[in-house]
Amino acid sequence: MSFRKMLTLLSVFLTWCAAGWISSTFILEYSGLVVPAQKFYEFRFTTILIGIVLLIFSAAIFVVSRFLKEEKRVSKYIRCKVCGRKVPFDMVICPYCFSDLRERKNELSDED
Amino acid sequence: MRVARVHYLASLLLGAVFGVAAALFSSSQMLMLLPFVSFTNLQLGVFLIFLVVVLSPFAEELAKILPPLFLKNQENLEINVVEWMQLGVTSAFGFSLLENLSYFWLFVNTFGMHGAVWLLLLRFLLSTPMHLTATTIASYGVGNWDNYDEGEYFVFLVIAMIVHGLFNFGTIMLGF
Repeated sequence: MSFRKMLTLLSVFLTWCAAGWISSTFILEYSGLVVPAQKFYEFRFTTILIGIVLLIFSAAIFVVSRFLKEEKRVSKYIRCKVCGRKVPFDMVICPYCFSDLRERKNELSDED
Repeated sequence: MRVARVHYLASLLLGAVFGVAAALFSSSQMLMLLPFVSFTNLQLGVFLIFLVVVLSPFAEELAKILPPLFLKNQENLEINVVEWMQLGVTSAFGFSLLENLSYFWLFVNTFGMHGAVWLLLLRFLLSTPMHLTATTIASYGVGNWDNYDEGEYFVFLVIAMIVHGLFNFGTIMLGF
């Protein structure tokens, strides 16, 4: 997994945590399991604040991840079109069926 | 053998299976101590806090890290530190899903369906990320120990248990 993908995942994870912190007291209230008092509302203020801080972190990480360049993965092998076997990329002729690999390489470079 | 997608799926399922084992361990600790404790309200409270803050994190963190270890030995896998963390997170997710479902059953019996659904949502939003965080820390340590054979990385397993224990302690304290 690339570093960029890991940062994006971390950002999603932090958003998940933030959603939990922000909604926790509301969920407790609407579930009917807690009778809200003054202390409860003070606690709600704290949880929302923590949630917002997490959201800011998450957004910052997401923005950083967008600016990072994705590393291009270069395969060391090429698959022969005729026999289907994996052949080292620098070979011109397949060592198994002796077919020409240059055409396949050109196709791959066109896809890039 | 390298780690494949099927190993992540296996880790998810094994996380759930080992979760049952951890739950049984935690429950058995309680059962074994029952004959020796004369439960006044205070003693029961202290014991339950000890169970939730110390014993459960210990058992659960070990249970969540076992699936990657099991897969490594069974499939003869070569796992680097990042893959250890990925497998650990997958295992923790499976563990947490099963735990949430088992709690849902308990909540339905205690608070009714309405309260249980809200509490399930709350657990999914708060408890599951905690499990994932703790296991990421633990699997970083175990992954380093596995790859570089350095025992001091086990401190990360202890840190994960402390994080888990603090979360449990926090949720208990919120109740008061």
